[in-house]
Amino acid sequence: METVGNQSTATPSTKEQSMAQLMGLAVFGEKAAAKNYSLIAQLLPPYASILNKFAAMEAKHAADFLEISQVNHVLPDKAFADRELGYLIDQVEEYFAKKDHESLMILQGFIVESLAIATYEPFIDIADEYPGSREAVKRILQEEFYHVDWITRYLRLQYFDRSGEFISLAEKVNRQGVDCVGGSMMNIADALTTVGIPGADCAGIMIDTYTRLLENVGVDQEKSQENVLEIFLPLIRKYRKISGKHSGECGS
Amino acid sequence: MENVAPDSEEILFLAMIRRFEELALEKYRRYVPGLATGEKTALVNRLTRCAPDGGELERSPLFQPMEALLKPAGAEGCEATLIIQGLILENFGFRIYEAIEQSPATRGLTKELSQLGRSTSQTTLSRVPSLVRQELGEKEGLFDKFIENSGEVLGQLDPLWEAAEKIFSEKFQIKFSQVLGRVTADLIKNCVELGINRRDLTLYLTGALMGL
Repeated sequence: METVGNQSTATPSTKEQSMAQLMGLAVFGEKAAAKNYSLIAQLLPPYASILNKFAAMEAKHAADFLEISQVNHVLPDKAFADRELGYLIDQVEEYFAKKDHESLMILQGFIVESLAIATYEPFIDIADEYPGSREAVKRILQEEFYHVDWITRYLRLQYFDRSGEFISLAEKVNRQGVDCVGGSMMNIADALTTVGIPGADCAGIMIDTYTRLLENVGVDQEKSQENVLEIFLPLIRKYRKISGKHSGECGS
Repeated sequence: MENVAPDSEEILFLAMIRRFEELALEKYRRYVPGLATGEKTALVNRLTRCAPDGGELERSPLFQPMEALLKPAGAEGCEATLIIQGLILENFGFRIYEAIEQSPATRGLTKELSQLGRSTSQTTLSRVPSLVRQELGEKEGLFDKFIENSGEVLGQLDPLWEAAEKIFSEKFQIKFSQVLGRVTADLIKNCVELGINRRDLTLYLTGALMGL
């Protein structure tokens, strides 16, 4: 089975399997996010206190999702999450080794957070099907916005009169980062749809959220839209081809 | 203008744009006379005179996806014409002409027709918003009409784009994902100026391009 951006995995055929994949990505993705913020904290000592606070919040999110899974008899699919997160973890390690905290901030604080926001926001609409999830996911979503807000303010200040340099940095991080995290978004699109959240809406929210974050740092709207779309469009094409959703194609 | 005979890729490109421009003018004449400008007519006349009539195109991998796109693109009525031709395909035309025109590999007749095509699309695009407002309205009402008319065309764009990429990207040194990114960004900008909610539109376009 082919997948969009990352390693291969089986397409979930039932609601239970889909939920297992989604909860796998939520639990282990949040754990990875906690580690990412703590790595950024190590590279940025003046802000270590707040960044470690973010790391602790992300670790709590992982625990929350694990609890939601247990209450709802869902076993988070760790193998799926490992395959999806492997490429992201490699990139994080590469940036950390280079002491490149700003690339790490864009990758974690913008791209990964955009994926989280894009899936948690519509999840709230179906949350009542999963006891104990509504309030937890609402709080988690608010906290992700809080992290994104801080990262935005930091980058905006750093690049206040150097937006051209920020575009170059974002383009560099996007090439690998969106391909990897956006690829995961496409790989869970069908699982999301199966549990009742339109996968295309989530992908659209991720594109829109990330585009706006770049704008909030100071990138011109058109430039930021072009840049994000340029990287997402090949992922969308791969998704459509793999899913056989090309109208006129046999079996579509 | 440099007098060089078009090569095989240029012949395909010219034959392809001829088909699209002929259809656009036909629809504009019938349903949106304000877009059947003298400039558009001159471009189509020039393409009809100079561009190949399609034999090469029929034998190429472009033919099937192009026919699949031309079918919904030929939808009848003022509403469909303004949305499909005016808002969507003119934006595509403009950016494709621009990319081909700027390519260092573009010469002679292809360069001349790309320049003419780009400037004609620019004129058309400048007239589209006021006509859309006048005929179709703005905001949510317009968005509903956009959704009703655009799905099939949007679903067929990328297959043609992919076939075109295989044939043209090496010759013209064009990164097609970049051009497509620009086209989609232009489309979003134009629609937002007509009062369509940007987030709703982005969600819809993502779904349409994903084939969902």
